[in-house]
Amino acid sequence: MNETVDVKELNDRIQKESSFVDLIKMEMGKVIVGQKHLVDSLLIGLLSNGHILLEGVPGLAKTLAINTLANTIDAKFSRIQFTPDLLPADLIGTMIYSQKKEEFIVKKGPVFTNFVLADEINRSPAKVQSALLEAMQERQVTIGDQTYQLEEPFLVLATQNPIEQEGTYPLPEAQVDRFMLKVIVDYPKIEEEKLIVRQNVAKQFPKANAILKPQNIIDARNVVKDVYIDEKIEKYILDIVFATRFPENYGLDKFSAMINYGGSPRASINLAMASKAYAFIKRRGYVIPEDVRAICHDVLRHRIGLSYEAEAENITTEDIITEILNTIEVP
Amino acid sequence: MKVNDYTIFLKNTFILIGLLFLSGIKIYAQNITVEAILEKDNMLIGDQLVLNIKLLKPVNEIVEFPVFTEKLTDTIEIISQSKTDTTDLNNGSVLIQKNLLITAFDSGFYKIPPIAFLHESENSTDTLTTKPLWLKVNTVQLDTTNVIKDIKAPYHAPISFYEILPWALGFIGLAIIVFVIIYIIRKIKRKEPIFRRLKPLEPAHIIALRDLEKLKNDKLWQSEKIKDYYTRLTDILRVYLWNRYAIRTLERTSDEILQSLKISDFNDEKSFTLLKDIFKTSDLVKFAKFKPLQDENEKCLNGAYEFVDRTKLIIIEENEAGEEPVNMNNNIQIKN
Repeated sequence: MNETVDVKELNDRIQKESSFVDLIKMEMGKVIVGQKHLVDSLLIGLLSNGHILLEGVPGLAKTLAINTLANTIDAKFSRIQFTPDLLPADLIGTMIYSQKKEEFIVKKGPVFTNFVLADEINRSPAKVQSALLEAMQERQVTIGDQTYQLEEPFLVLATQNPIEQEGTYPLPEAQVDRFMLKVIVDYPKIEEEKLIVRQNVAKQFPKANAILKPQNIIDARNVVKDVYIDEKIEKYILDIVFATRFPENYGLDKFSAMINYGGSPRASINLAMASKAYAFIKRRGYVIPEDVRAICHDVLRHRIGLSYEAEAENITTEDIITEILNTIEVP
Repeated sequence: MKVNDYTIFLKNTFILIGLLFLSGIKIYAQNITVEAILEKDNMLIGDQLVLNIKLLKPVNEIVEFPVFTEKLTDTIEIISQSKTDTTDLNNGSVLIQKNLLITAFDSGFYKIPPIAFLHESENSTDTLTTKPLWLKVNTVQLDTTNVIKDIKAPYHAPISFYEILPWALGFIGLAIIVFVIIYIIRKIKRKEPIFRRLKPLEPAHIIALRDLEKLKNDKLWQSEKIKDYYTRLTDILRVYLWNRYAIRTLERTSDEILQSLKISDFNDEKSFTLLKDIFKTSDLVKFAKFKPLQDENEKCLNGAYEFVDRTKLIIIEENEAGEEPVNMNNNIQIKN
């Protein structure tokens, strides 16, 4: 850790490097009305190299948001609708025989892109989910004997529908853990929806302009890594994650029987990374407790396993995280 | 002998035989005696009688005492059985006996059949039986001379304390719930906190000022412990805010604390700015390795003193004329 961090110099640098954040938000704001939390979460995932699981009912601009983000960055975008009959080859690609060349050639799948929208990921069987999740983790795909690196930036946004759970294949806990954030997309406010209606019935639908290159995002990621995170904040993050594992050690005995398993070390890593990215989009060179609290629900809500007692008591992971944040002393 | 005399002879003979049966003649076999004795030979319908069954046998003889179920016959029921009582007579014999409490719910003249005991000897097994007994069950005699009366209503037993107890507890519980609801509604209407915070033994500002004085004397920033200095400074202010305004501060961030103060009608703008500046500088020191100038360190400490001084709770006695002092900062409490 750099012991001679100059906050002024660091802040000046971040101010300069993060100027594109406002531009992206402005361009996305032309198309996406409201959904500020969704836009912020997309940026956090983009800047901290983490994938995002979106949960929300259909029609909340999930696809439009990622499409617009891809447009602003001049990046490639693929949308894959997960269905029960989807095969791994439909996702990552396959070898096909070329009669012209008289040999097998590689036909790359839609995963070879910068932004992937895996729509309704829980509608496909485990082998297809695994194929995508392997690509997410390793950032490479093997077709036949050949391994192909995926392009950077590579961001997967998977969606899940909270309703209609029949005939779905819920993601196993180990695979859900690979998503940095699980974002709950909610309905827009009434004023926002009025604007959405107006925008959609107008003659021309607004379009976002490309203002960045994928390389700018890769550069920004390196700057995000430089955002200063103090030891006190690190302890705060660890206290939060450990409270999900051993709530009784933090005066939360009532949750002991309600939590089957708490956040993994990946939760701590992602909480720290996402806090840095959040500080960056707030154009700050250091992390403050507000940053941790702002993204804590998104990072932890899919990493806490609830027991039957919790379900019987109607206790959700949201309740547990909120209670933990209201109990752990802020540095 | 005349016919009349002969009839009388037969009648007496039968009566004698009957009496012999009713008295339960003892049955002897190899010095083993089994006997069944009825307490009375007649009873009122539904009444209860004791049937005593005895077995007298040498100690070394094996005789199986009969086992009784719920009924002796179709009409005679066994209500209860005593434990089998064994008495050593100290002459090489033991007396085993058992009492059966019996009853019958049909009137009539009933025969209690012989009760069998199994005697096991070396070569054979014998059955010893008691003599049969007769029991007359009388019905209730109706008094037809009296007028017919109505059926009597069931008697009501006096109500016991344990019957009243659940109702009493329920009533007390209901009264408590109603009281709590009324209390909460009143507090909400008066915009007062529902739960009264226990006041510290010392006023909040006394504790804060003492801690600030100690912080000053410890000279932390002078010895390059700037982070510790600001951590303690903010902790003192957070504890002060909790004691003074009952705002949860230890689990909240600087922005959340300031937001809570705004919500709680904190309207002293200067104090608010002082606190905001202290928190801002402290956050920079604590989380961004910011090294403020000496002036700033002193300014923050003086700012903390000023904040506590401006917001401390002043308790004054109400004067006789009942005039209330002007309360600009919501920090004057009038004591009657």
